[in-house]
Amino acid sequence: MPDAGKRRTPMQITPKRFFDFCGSHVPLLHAIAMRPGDVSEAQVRQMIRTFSDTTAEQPETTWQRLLELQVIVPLEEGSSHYVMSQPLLQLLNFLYNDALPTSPEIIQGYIAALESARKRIAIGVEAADPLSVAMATNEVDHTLRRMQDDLDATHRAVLAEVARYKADRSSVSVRERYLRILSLMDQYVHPLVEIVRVDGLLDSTLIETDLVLRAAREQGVYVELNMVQRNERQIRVLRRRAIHTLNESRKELQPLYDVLRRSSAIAHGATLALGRLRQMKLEDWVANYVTPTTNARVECPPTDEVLRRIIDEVISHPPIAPPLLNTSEDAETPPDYVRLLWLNELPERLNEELPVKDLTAWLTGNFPEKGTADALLGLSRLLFDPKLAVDFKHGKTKHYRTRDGILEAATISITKTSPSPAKAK
Amino acid sequence: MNTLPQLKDIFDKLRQGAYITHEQGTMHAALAENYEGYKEYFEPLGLNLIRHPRDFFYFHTETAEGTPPAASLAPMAVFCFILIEAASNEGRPIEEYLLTERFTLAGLPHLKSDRYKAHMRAVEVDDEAGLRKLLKSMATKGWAEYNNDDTFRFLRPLHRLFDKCQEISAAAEQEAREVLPSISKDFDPEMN
Repeated sequence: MPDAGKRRTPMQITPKRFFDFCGSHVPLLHAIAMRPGDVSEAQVRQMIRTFSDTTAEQPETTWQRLLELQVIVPLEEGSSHYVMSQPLLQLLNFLYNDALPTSPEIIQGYIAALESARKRIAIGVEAADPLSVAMATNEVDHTLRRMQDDLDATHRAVLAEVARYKADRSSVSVRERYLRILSLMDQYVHPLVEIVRVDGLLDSTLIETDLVLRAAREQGVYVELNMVQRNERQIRVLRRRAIHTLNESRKELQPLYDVLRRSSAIAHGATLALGRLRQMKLEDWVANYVTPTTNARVECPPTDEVLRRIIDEVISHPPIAPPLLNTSEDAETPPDYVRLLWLNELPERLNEELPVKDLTAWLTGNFPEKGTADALLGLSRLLFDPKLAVDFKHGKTKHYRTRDGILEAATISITKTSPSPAKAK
Repeated sequence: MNTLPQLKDIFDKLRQGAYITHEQGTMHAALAENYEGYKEYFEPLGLNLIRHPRDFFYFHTETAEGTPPAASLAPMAVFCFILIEAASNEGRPIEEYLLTERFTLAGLPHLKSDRYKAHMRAVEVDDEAGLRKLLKSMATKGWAEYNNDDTFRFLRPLHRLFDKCQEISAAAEQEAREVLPSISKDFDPEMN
């Protein structure tokens, strides 16, 4: 630890020596300036090895020069942490067109300082005290300069941020970029515009300051007219430039602000939708988070050509007689169809001969050509006919001959038709 | 008598729920040339021809508003949502990136993290073949342009999904705003 933290006797820094050193160590100075907060000695020595030409100058020599020329100064007495000296930092910011935005609170502080100086000028004019007027006028001059510098710095900070955004495609998330632009816009530019706008706080303070300076000039209390006139000119310039500068900043930021706000909302929406996918049933999720499209059920557009063809077909269609169904049987009629016709007409045939005391005898007697299978089908058809009142006698079984066999059954009689549901009511 | 050119081709494309974009060349040109004519023609069929501000066309019906979208659209939506989220996490300008980049199937993030894999499984896509099939179906619908070398690019209808995302985000923020007053009502300053 050669010299760390030791308080050095301030030596005279000659501008040539200072600028010669700065001129030959630009990358190193820029690296230190870009470093947020303070840097340790070890970090500075590492930067020297990275950013300096160590063949042209020993790293130890560079370190010594940094301290001697007060390029870096210890954070506090005895500390081994360093910061770049403020005037040099400002110079570098100016050279790299980089700056920190000015907060509305700082501008409000300047306005308060202007107001205080204005009051002292007014009191000095009233008391004919040229000294207090001179001091307050000087303070007005200083405050106006700093205010303009800070507003310009805000504009430069905005330009730098916009340039960084456009050039930097690194992996900073959309949301983070959005928040950076958003904070610049919402914490600096918008509030500052509110302060410096035509009917805002700054404008009224400048008008009043202008009035007291004019009074000082007209009443001859303050003899250095140049200073008064310069302040008056500065006030005019500041009123014009402040709003212009901030509007320019707003113009630079607005397109990015809009794009990023949209991008951020898109990313937010997509993340929300994906998150809900695991919490909802798929059908519900689709209903809520999917863009619908229409599938038309019409298969062909009704063009004039299609319509004309259909109408032509209708008009020119020749009349054709409806087809006649042949319900009588002949030799070519399929046997199943013949059976169906017989079964269908059975109840009607039976009706004509009611009462029938022995249904099986009636069936086998009237249709001796039917086989056992047909006879059973016929019996079933009649037994389950809802219009016939069937009575099972449960007596001794009898034998009934069919074309191809014998049926053995107790007597079944049908004496009448059962009442229809309508009649029953 | 109507004289709308390419009516059948245009109808056949749109009725399947597909989009007509600049990629459809003469069909798009015909629609762009006489949008009102086609719109009036389809209206009596209950089909509302929409021209999106980003200059593509699709059908929309009143009945479609009441009925949920086809379940086949779910994999497409999940696929796009994942890509949007991944692009955002990488700090890319979402719209510019998704609509200008040509993507390769192998470079997609969908099967590279457990979370994304789980999302894709929920819509029954769990391997590269499934992704390929999905991309082909997206190409049929006019969402993307797919090439046989497994590269693809998105087409303008993706803007509808961007619109949907913004809608979802706005609804969530609105919901959050509605919850806040009720919380502040519960807060009694007298009690503190």
